[in-house]
Amino acid sequence: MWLLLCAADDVPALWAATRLTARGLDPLVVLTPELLHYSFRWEHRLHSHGASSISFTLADGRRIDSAAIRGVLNRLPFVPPHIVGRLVAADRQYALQEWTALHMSWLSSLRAPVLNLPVMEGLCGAWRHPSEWAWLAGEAGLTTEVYQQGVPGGTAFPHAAITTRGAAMVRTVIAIDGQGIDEHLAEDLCDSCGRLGVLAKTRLLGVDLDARTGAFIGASPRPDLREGGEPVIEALFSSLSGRA
Amino acid sequence: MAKKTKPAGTAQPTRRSRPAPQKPETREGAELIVIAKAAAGLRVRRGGAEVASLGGANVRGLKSVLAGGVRFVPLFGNEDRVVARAAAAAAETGRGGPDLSVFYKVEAPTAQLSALARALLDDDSVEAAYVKPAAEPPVMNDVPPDMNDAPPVTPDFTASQIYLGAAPGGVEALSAHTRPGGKGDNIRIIDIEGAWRFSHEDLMQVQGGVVGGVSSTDIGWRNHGTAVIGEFGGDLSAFGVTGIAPNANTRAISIFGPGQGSAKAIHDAADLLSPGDVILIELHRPGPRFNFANRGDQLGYIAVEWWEDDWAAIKYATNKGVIVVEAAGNGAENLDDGIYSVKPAGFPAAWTNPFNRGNRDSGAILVGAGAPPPGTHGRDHGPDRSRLDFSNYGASVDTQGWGREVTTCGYGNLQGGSNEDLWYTDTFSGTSSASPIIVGVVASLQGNRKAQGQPVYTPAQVRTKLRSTGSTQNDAPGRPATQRIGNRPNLKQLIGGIVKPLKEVAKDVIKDKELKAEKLEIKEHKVEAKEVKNEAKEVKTEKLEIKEVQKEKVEVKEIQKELDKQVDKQFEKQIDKQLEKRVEKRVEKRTEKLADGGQGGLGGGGTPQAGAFEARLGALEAAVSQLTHFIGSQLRPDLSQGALTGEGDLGGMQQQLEGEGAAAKWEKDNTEG
Repeated sequence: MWLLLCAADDVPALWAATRLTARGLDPLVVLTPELLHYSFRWEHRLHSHGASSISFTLADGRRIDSAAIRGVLNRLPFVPPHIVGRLVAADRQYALQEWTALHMSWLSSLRAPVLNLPVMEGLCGAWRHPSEWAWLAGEAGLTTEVYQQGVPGGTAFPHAAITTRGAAMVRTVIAIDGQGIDEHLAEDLCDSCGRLGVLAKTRLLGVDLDARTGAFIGASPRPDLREGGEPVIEALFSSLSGRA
Repeated sequence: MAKKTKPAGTAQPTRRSRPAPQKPETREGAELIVIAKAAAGLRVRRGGAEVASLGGANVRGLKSVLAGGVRFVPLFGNEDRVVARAAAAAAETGRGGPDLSVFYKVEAPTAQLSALARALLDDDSVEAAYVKPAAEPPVMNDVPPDMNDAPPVTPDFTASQIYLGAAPGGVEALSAHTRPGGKGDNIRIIDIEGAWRFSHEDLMQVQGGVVGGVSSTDIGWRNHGTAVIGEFGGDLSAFGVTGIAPNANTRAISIFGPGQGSAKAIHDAADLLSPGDVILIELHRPGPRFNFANRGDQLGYIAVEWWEDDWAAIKYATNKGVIVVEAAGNGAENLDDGIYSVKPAGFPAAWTNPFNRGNRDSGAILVGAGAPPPGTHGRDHGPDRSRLDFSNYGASVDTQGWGREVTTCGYGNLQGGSNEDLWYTDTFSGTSSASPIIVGVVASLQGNRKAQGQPVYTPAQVRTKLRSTGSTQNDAPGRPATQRIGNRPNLKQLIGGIVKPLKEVAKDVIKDKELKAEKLEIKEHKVEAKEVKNEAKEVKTEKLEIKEVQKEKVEVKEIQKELDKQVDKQFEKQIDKQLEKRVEKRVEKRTEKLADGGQGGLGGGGTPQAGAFEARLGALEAAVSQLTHFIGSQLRPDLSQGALTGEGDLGGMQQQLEGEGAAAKWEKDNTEG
């Protein structure tokens, strides 16, 4: 069994789901935040010798057990607040934090591949400040705008060049397990995108580049997978099926 | 190659092109806030010139500061009165709140505030002392007015107010206007900022003017306040603009004036309002990103609730049931960034980051700025409902309004001239322009509740509704929807019959579908029963007819016998023939009649009809076999290589998942009570 954690309206995820299932990731169970959080019984055991297990029963009776999970495509950036709407106001924030902690724990404890593992800065991978992305992109060998924060037209630069380039043609490169996937892109750029994924400690990463110059614009651990087409599906299939 | 393109706008305002904003009364607006230890029981006398401790704390440090000629003013009014009022409010609402009696404001020359804060922190009775940088209006467009005088009658600008219109571009305000109370009837709004032009020609009908503080004389503040109020309070008339909630009563409290400040303004507004009414905080101030420095580009500016006294005042208001709408700020900041969890020097020891609602929740609705539909007023700011680059974002930002291209009163670049009362703009921007849209929506929603005799929504309910309905945020290059500013509201969903959250709607849709399926099944059963009944009737009729024919045959035979006896042999054969012919004819006639009336019946004798049907079918098959493709195979595109090859029914999947989620919630709610 493979799991896809995503919102019901996460069209890129559903797009990927149909293709991954066709390739053989079957059964692929799509779990929305609502299905996860309105489930009935969670058992998460962390044993003293390092083993762990997770099992929960969905409202429709389906049981999810870690022993049967062979891979997870995780696209939930955080626990959506509406799922604790049934609680009294004073308990909601507490409940959200508890849910977050639980998800971080069980996803991290799975032996199966998880793209992406949760971290403190986001359940499906870290969300970083534009300056941090710019620095990491530079380290990965991508061309970046000089990143300075200051007064436009004054002593310095726009605070985030990457957010003021709306009119640019953007090309999104999906990097999976350290490999930039775009057969039409120059190899060194592809490699740099892959390196950025490694530096960001994010197995699945979307890297936005200026289509004309190749300069780095932004990155996201929850990219639009459709941008990468079938090659990305192939790479995802390999990673999630353990064939990578 | 994967590409995303965005058409170049005709006049896309950016940070580079934006004129330096005016900074009305910036540094002078800084405030030194002191929070006393509750146990000290401080009481200020003689207009802030003397201080004593009911708890016996050593206040010599405080007294020495006061000896320097500064005033120590209870921020929310006389301490004993604040305590009494809080107790009454708690008894009424059943909710406690922050102790507002321990907040003070030090009135001294701005240049001395930092040094005074450090000195006050040494006093045993002081829990916290910090300087709040001056608040500013979160506006992105200070533009000069058109110098041409206005025409004798102002044109009707409502066609430019696309935000009033249909979703997803607008918030469905015009639709809400047709609903009872949907114009904000019997709802009161207080806007908190610096100045307004209440004599404006389009703000005359339902307003109560400035009810607290002293308005700034700065034209930047005045344009800003006028534009803000025009969005929700523009009069219903044949000229100018129309507000989202034009029947709501609109008033204002300034943050300026003796003893005044943002927190006091919020607190005073809360005291003037009832549950369901609305406070709008049209302020933001420099945060820690750039060391709290006021700056022209507003980078690093954040929502005011980050400061303890403002948070306490907002909490006081929301505890009362007053809806507080707060601009998230134009600092281009991720409010989830760790920098906002670092407690600055001088803040209370127990202070935690309020942008992380896991720590604590003011109850306010934080508003981000989203792009209007591309092409609005001939300009393009990116995909509709995508985050504008200046807007703060994060998990605590609840909803979005238009952050560009807002047509409203003030500024004078749409209609200018020498008379400010006739000024209009169509470029009001920022979280400044976004927040009043939400205020109008909330007032419309609450007005409708009142008109229906329903209890008004609580702040938490309003927030939940805004988060769970509306038009979703879109991605933009470099500004993915995961940089949350929330949905754009849709009043049609909120009050137009779809009053339930989407999940409940999904549940209802499922129920409706099931009900429809059941009804259809029953209908089909009824039709079947009717058909069987008809068939039985036909069989009965046929049986009777057959009996009649048989009876006739018997009669004919009897006649024949009689004739046999009576006529001679010569006539016998002729008569026999005649009789036989007669019988055959009658039988044939009956048989044909039965066959004509017996379609679908049990004894319908369908042979002749089946033959006709087969003939028709054969003709059809022959015709189909003659058909050919009218587009030849060489002219057809090779769809096997298309991007959407094998595209499943993603919409169907989405609906199914939403349905499953709604069903799961229903199960959970009904199983666990």
